[in-house]
Amino acid sequence: MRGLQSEGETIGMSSHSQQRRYKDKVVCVSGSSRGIGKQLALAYAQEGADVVIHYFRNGEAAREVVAEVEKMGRRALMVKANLAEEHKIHSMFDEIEKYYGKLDVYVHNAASGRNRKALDVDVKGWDWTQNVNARSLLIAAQRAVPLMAEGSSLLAISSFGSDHVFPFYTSVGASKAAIESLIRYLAIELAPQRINANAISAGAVETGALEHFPEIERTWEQVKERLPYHRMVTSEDVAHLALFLTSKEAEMIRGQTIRMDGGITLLVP
Amino acid sequence: MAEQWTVEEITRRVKQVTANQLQVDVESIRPENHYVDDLGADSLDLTELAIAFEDEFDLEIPDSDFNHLSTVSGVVEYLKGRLSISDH
Repeated sequence: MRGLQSEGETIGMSSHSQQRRYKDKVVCVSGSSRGIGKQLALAYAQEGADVVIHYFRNGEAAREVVAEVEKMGRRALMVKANLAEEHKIHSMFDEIEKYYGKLDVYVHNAASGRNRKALDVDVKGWDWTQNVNARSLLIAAQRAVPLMAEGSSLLAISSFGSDHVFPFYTSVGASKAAIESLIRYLAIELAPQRINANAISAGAVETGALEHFPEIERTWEQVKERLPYHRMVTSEDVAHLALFLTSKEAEMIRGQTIRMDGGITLLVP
Repeated sequence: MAEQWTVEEITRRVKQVTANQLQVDVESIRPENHYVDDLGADSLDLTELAIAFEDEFDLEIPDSDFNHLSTVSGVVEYLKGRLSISDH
């Protein structure tokens, strides 16, 4: 985990890191027991934030992230919630409000999905995917904003499946398109409150999250072959961008989905 | 003090949760039934079943455990090991 080894160590932008850009801020990262979400939570904690570690099924991994955060001298609230259920999201924010009393950044990272071709997606799988990925952002934003002061931010993690076709990614891709659209509306609606909203379309990030997709190994090889920089996007790359997008320096970037894909989508097929 | 369970009550509730989640008749569920092969569960059903068992029995069932539970009786046996069982 490059750049996040110990307290005080920089994450690649030394002057900013030394200033602890997120000192005493409270950051909630959904789905932060592993993968990109874990990296994001650790990166915010490294920059001085107290964090909310949200998880769904992997409590043991979440506890490990909490321990890492606490080693940095920051607080971590561990919350379990099934984001498909409205009342569980409310319970999560009730806990955040009770424990911290405020929220400065909400990162909507958790995602799930039924991995099937469009004509094979059933209603149950579709609803599950949309509820976990997209509807939950709406509910979370409605609960997060009242806890937020001026200068706070919402950030959603999307993927290029929102506007490109990825094998078996139908329901997730559609949910990501909904997320990106909702972020645009939130960015405008929340501008008078000086609360920002943006999204990161992280391209193909090599984590365990996609390992259940059929034919994923062949897809990875095809992607790596075509990438101009010949490496996959990493969760560290995403963390660098996230910390910028939720900072004051990014306040004029509003409602955007910033693509981080190593340039692959610029290439002519 | 932890809630005391009987094996009969655990079995009854496991069957009821299974019936509710998979939309099958509770009376038709047998201990040896395999969730995927006999009861038609898919991966999403299994995820929802795990959540429902956690809610019903107020405990956390890690994926690393649940992935090894393929039958109704397997779930009952697992829960017997996790819950406090009364002698009666």
